[in-house]
Amino acid sequence: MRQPVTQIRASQVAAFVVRFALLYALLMAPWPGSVEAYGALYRGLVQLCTVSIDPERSVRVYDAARGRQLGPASMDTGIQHRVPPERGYGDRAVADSLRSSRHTGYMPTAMLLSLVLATPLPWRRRLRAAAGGFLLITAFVAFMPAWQILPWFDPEKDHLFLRLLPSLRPAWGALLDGLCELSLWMTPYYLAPIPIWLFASVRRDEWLALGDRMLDRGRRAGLRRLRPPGAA
Amino acid sequence: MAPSSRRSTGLVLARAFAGFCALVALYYAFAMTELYRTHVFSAYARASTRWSGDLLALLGFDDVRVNGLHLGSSRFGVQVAQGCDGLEPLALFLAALLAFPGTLLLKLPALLLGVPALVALNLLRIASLYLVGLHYPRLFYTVHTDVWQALYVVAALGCFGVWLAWATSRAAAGHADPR
Repeated sequence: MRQPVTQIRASQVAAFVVRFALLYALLMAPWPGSVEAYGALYRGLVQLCTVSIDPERSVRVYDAARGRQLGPASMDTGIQHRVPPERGYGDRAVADSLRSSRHTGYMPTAMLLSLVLATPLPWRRRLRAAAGGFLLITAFVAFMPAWQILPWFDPEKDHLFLRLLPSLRPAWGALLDGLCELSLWMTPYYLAPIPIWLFASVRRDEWLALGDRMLDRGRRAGLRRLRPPGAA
Repeated sequence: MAPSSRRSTGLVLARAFAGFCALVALYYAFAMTELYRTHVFSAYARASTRWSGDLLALLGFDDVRVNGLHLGSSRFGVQVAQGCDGLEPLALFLAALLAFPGTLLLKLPALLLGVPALVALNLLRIASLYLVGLHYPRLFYTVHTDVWQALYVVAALGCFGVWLAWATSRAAAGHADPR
């Protein structure tokens, strides 16, 4: 029977942080061709996620760095958004936005893989978690530009989801606007790897065992608010 | 462990997770208001910039001047902007700590040690970015974006992990204690 990992020691946490730093440095090192290779993958995925946003508009994801030397902050990926002239958007019929595949794609992926591989778990579990986590973070990375361009190039702030569910418009419009604004910050790219890492690496029975340890202390101290509902 | 006890533990954890999500959502909703920008961000970022300037002065960089959110000398300067202020990882650490099951007494050491540690790390981050920009300007963007952002988020995670390790070992010791 598999035993859940429940004992966490402070030294393990410290060793984890050191392992994470080493792995992250290794993955983020400027390996020859890595930026170009990941950039090509990134553009393909983003194109896949943006192509069907709206059949009346076209979105083209292109290599904006072609023929120039890439620096650390290079905006190597362009997203061109085109609407048909009859929609009457005037000079906004074509709009361009540039982004860095390294910072909005490679970096969160490297962060996730470093977190997973630095976790003190059996290697088989680490590799499985790395594979699952990689798929999830890649989905996140590819979906974010699609989410961002919904309101950017739409003068009416006409969110696709709200068009599908018009009755939700007043209540959800502000929330979606807020989420779109939030998605333009860099922090989602640093924070998204953490829930994905926890989801991919920690099993349910380990969460439960961890919770039990915390609750046992509460029971012993006679603290009511720590007792789980329905517990004796 | 009995299935009913497991189920109830699961409920407590689910409630904690929901509480964490609610606190994070509240933080981000607040972070988008003008009130936050003009008062919370502005005050924290100004204090961070001033204290980072003091740290650099302590290290012998007497020519560093602080002006609002700008820290620099005649040779190089940095500007603390929203998103680069280190408040979000701090807010997430607090949200995780407050939402996780446990008494305030158990969480007090994390509040008293973890929060100042993260604030201090942020001062070190700002001061080191100034020094990197001053001496290795080509590395500034890489250190700012690739190194410190990830390191600071993981430091907040590490603080929570250390507290969790301490709290669960206290709990285990308490459970094993027959008295």
